[in-house]
Amino acid sequence: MAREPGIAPAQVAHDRLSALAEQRRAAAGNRFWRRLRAERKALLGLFLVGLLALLALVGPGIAPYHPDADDFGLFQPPSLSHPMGTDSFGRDLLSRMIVGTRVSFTIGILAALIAMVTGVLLGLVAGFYGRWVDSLIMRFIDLLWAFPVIVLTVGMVAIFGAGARNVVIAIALAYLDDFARVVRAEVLRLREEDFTLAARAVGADNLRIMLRHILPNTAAPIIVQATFAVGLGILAESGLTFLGLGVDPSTPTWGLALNEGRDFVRQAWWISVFPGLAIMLTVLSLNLFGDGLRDALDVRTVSEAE
Amino acid sequence: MKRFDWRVLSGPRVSRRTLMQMALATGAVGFAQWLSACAGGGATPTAAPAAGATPQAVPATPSGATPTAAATPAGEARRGGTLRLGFGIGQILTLDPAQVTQGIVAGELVSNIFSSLVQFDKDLGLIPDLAETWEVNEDGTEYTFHLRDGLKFHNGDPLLAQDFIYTYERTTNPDFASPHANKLNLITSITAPDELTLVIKLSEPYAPFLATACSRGPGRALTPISKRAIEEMGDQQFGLTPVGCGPFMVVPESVEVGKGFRMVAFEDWYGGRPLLDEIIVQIIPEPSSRISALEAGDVDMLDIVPASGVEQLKANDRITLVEAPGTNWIGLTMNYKRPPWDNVDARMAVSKAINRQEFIDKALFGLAVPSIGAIAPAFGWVYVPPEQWGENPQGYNLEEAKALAEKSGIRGTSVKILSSAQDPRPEEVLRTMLQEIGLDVQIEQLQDAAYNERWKAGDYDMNINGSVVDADPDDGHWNFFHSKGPWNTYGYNNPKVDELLEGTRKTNNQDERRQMWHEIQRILQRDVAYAFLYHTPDRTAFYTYVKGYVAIPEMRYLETVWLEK
Amino acid sequence: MTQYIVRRLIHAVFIVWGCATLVFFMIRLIPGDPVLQMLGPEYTPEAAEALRHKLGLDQPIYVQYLKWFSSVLRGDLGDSIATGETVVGAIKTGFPKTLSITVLSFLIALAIALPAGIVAALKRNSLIDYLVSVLAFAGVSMPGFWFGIILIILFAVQLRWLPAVGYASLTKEGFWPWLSHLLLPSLAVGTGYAAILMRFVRAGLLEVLGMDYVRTARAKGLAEWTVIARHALRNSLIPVVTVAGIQLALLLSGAVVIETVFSIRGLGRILVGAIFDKDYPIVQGVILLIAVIFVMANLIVDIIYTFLDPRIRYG
Repeated sequence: MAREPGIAPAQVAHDRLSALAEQRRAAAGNRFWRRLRAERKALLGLFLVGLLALLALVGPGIAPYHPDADDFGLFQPPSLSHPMGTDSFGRDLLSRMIVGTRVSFTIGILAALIAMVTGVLLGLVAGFYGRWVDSLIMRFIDLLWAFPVIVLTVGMVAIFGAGARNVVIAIALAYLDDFARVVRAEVLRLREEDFTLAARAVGADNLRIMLRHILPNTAAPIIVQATFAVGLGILAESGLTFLGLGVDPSTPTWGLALNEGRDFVRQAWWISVFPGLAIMLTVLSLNLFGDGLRDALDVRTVSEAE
Repeated sequence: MKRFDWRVLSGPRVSRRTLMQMALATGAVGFAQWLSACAGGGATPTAAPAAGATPQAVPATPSGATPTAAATPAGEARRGGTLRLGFGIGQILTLDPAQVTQGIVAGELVSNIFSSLVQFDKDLGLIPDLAETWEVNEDGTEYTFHLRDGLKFHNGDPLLAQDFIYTYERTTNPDFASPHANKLNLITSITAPDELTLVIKLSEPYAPFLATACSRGPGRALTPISKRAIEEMGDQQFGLTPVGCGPFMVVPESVEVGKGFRMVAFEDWYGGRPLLDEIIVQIIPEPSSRISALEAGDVDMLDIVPASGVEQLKANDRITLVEAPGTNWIGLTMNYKRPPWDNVDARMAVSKAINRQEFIDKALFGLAVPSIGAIAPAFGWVYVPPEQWGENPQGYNLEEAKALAEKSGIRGTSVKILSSAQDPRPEEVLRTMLQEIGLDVQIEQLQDAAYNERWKAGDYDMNINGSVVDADPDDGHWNFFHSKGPWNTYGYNNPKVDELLEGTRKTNNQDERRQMWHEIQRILQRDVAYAFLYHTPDRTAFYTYVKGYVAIPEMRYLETVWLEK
Repeated sequence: MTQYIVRRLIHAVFIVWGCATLVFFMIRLIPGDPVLQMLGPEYTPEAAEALRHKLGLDQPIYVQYLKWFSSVLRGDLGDSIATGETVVGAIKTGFPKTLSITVLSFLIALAIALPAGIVAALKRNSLIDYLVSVLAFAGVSMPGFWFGIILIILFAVQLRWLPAVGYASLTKEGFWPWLSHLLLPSLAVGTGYAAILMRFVRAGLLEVLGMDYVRTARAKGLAEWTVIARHALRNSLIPVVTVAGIQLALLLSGAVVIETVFSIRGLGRILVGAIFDKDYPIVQGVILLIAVIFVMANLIVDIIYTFLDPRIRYG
């Protein structure tokens, strides 16, 4: 489920490997933007994500009907008054999709944020201090990693009950280890870099070195990872809903809409096709953006191509 | 009070009419209702299927001579072939009759692996199964069964009266923890005067005894078990690869929990070898996948058709959809132990806010009938259709509902409805309807284990549930509405209802009893013990080349089935 | 190096033990009583008590834990509470199915990812590159069950080419029944997987193409395809293989949604079903197995890294 053929661990491996390949990461902002502009995929992704984010912000205001209003007739095919048709309860699908944008985005972003903050902290501390601290934290991360995502999320939701908050926490917990690993790998590399050694030589304390010197330099892979994580969160929500462990069915999320349509794919294709497309488009945009971002931030690859 | 002569229950055949009279005469009203409902006898306006019923939908209760579905008017029964049965369940927990708690496993699978003393015919009379004849004494406390000669278990061992004694001892052994042991509580002695005679004595008369303890399918507690098989493989393994005595035998190597198993024809079945060579039971838990599997031709028959697939299957002219009246009622319960739901105004406000027909149209695609009480429409002798019932205080009336919501202070509050994970459609529709009276319903979805425990413990605000068919649906009232009813987990306690419920078990005057049930229904409506919602039918579907199926509600006896292909 | 591997092995044992212990207590936190679940709504307290005693669930939790732990050490994973089958038996029936899906979907992914990745790398930043990337990412961006249902309707219900649900054993029922049942679920899993692999093929190839030895090969006048096949591709596949190791291990537990849609009772469905039913022994046994596979894959990958980059120090 949740980790549908996941990107994340692959991402981890990639970052580890690119860490091997790279000597230095240029962080100059203007160069970054120039490269990003060159990455048309990323721009396309950014544009779509931005559009959807806007929809999430203003969504409820522009939805043509109340998302719960259910007196439009069951299984009405798409028409002018209901561009996406009506669902199996007789509700306007477009309105539910628009309102659902915010919910789905919120779930994805919150899950990614929580995973990011916790994961980054753990990875930073583990990578920087090394030795037993590293061992302790990384064993815990390994534990999380080795513990199947599916069991983690299903178990969490089963213990604490379904509902948006628990779904968010469960997803965050499942993807936290990826951040920790990415950051740790970066820190391990940066620890040996000249500027860290220099900072240490002039007597900067550990906290200062971590926050001022190392953290900014790990920003790139974190951002890339976070972009993917938002998409994974949105996917995971639909997967959990499929297993009957999603948010309260009264909350209009995309995953819920998709699930409510799955029994009627043949008699009313639109109920599952539109939410499915929405999820796909969103995750695709995030992935393209993240991928482009990675390429733009990856000095070596870009210079090779130039 | 007129003394009843229990000898009418003696076999080789007990008609449904007799069973009903007996049941009514002895207070086993629920059982009588079940019989009545399942046979769907003439006058009853059975659960009318939704508009647009297709011609191939076969009435489950053919009144004519042919027991088979109308799809096989004149076909010559053929031998051989494999029937692939798509079965909708997460996993089959056990096939051991004494341990089965999954109703469809008992009625549809175990009944094909095991015969029992008696069985139901298509009109739901009792006919011989392993017992050729039987007698019941005048007091109704002694049953004497005469077994057929030459009966065999699947492992070749002879099946004799002693095997029933062994089965009785096994089922009632406290260490074995059979959930059905309670059905044998009244037995004071079970003896075998000779190999083919079984004598069972009860401490007091109990009309549904034959059906609940001795019948093929529901009579799980006394379904005969091979002692040698148990000794050879142990109880756990027996649950996976049972050695039965019915028309089909399980192929042990084929058993895979969660995937299914194969059954092959039992040559030595007393009724002769069944027509099919083999039945493959394939588990398909996902409702949409189940429909797809049938339409793709992966399976020939489905056990139960989910409401969401009915339209689609009706449109497929290669598939026969069979609908039989199910006897059940489903309602919304509001927990008396959780204020404000102890206030009848609050409960009434909710009930009056629910437009039953609209609810059914949206939640069940119109495939059910509105309910005004716990008496299913198929119970013709006592059921009164809503339009003839007169005033139903809990019926839909939005204006009154709003006023009551205001008065009881539930307007603007929120409430949690406990829901199982399978399909929260009814809860979702309810949520939208209750918004009208300013009540915010949150749906709390739980997996089965947690759901059952919470429900059993009465740990919920609201919940949609009800009684579904088993051999003794007297539970459908007693268990839910008696203050000591085991499924009364919501704290309903009305001494008048208790008194009436007990009364229905003591009197044998049918008119009097009908009055009592109506009185009970009136009180339940007024109290809003439940906000009664709907009744649903029992549906199966198969390809038109599947012939000879006899529709017995909630059962799938497959020995008469054959394939025309 | 040997010392490092030994230490990692010790860690691996610790992780497996940790996972098993974690799940042992975690599953007992999930609300719901397995005994009540088994007995159904008509249970009596006496029957529940008897069953609890029979299963040893009436003992203090630490006693249960020690008993379970010691029997695991003896190689006995116990019996399922719900069905009575042995845990080892359940794993034996579930594992081949999940493994089949995993391997087949990996092959499908490879068949898509290799050509797509090569083309994308060679035609970097061209329209083809964008199209291939977008398509590949579309695969990973779809909810798996949705794609699965669409595949069923298209290939099973409409075209009737392939069975809609179920699994056929390779050894008992033969190759074609096995393959035909697996094609759709593997396709559903594999397309998502392909996107990831394709990214690695592309990135790896791009990196290698800039290296000196490739330039040398080109300078020697070797045909472009020979250069790519003999030199570039081989080296760029190393990370792919590494990633594949981790992914394979992941998929073993991650295919539950697809297994549900296609009604295949593989490890994932066994596990999730057991969590829902609170079937403790099954959950514990399956987690143990998954943890072992996982940790081993992880260990191997880490060792490879150490070989690749001596600068990464494991303190």
